Amino acid sequence: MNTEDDENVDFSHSNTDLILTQPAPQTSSADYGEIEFTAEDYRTALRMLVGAALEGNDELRYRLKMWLVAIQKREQESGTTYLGVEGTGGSPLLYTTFGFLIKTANYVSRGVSTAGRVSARTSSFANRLTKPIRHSWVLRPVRQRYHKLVARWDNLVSPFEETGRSEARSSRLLVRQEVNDEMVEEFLVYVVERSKMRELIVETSAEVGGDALDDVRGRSASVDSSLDDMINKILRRKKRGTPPPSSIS
Amino acid sequence: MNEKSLDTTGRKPAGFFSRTISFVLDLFLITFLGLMSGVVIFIVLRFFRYKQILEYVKSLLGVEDQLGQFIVLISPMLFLIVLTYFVFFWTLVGYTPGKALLGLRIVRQDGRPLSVGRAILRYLGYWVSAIPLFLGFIWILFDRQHEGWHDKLANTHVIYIFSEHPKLKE
Repeated sequence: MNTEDDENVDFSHSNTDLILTQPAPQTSSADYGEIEFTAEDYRTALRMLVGAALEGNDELRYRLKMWLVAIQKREQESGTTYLGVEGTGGSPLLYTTFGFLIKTANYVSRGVSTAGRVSARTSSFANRLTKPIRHSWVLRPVRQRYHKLVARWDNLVSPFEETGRSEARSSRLLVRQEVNDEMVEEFLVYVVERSKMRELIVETSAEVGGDALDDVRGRSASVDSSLDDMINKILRRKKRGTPPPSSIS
Repeated sequence: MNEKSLDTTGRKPAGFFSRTISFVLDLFLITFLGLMSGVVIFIVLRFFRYKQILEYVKSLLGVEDQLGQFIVLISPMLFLIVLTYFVFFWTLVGYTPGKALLGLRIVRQDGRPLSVGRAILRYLGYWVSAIPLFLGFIWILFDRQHEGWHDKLANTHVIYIFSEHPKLKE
């Protein structure tokens, strides 16, 4: 279990590693209303949720496996079956649904694996077949452009992946080392007693809105405009201007 | 509640595509919440003698099928989750997570944020729009102000709140 020193570890926001900082000053429950709920608190909460989900998932899978093995062992030893198929009374529809869900998971898993194999072979064959053309001087500009595009995509995606990996590690450590009943209770009181929820959501939304998101929004608005133009053409009406100014404070 | 008005001068009403995408994103989130709450309800029912409760539903509503009985039990909870989701976000910040991602916001005609009553009315308006083969939603496509039946019912409209895009500056 944790020592006293372990409890003073604070997981500050970092992409590289955990940083040890001074412990936050102790606050009484009466002070909670005066402290602001910041984006950093939100990140900590998110880390806790991610850590709980990852650790919980591992733990659950491990336990389920162990339980299944234990049940099978007990059945083998005693030579009796605890619950036979005849013990599952009730609606056939319910069991059909269960069976369908389980079978579908198997089929999907097998289908994905087959599709992966087939696509790998096809792409390897296509690679070999088109190699003389692709490496010809005619396609050199296209090739360069393609490589640039791939590099740009990698640059765009890799920071997210790095952040995700480092955050997942921090989250797992947070849950493994720091979360106990007392902390969960403190956190709940902390969240419930804050009246700054609105500001937090607004702040988080603003943070989420990076350049990439603005681009998506812009594209979506462009599609809206095009759709609008199309409808106007079909209905033979004039393009709508800026809406009349409303009674705004 | 924040009653501060938003200056909507020059802001275009959001179009059909953006609104549809934001709605679909919200539906994904709601489905996830619904599934999670379904699991919780199932655990609670198991704890409080699942079969007895189902027997009670059977005697009360005459639903024979076990799956049907379970659906009857969780339906009010799902309805409440969806209602709470929309009303909470609409009144608190004026947009749901889906709308936030697409940079949209719901306001009253005078730019003020929605009250709880108006938000509930708008949510009920969703059903009015959906029942006649989603005609109330498709209406957004043809309406000059891009208002669906639920917007007209609650006297609200959805606007873009990101103004950086040149297409929005007319």
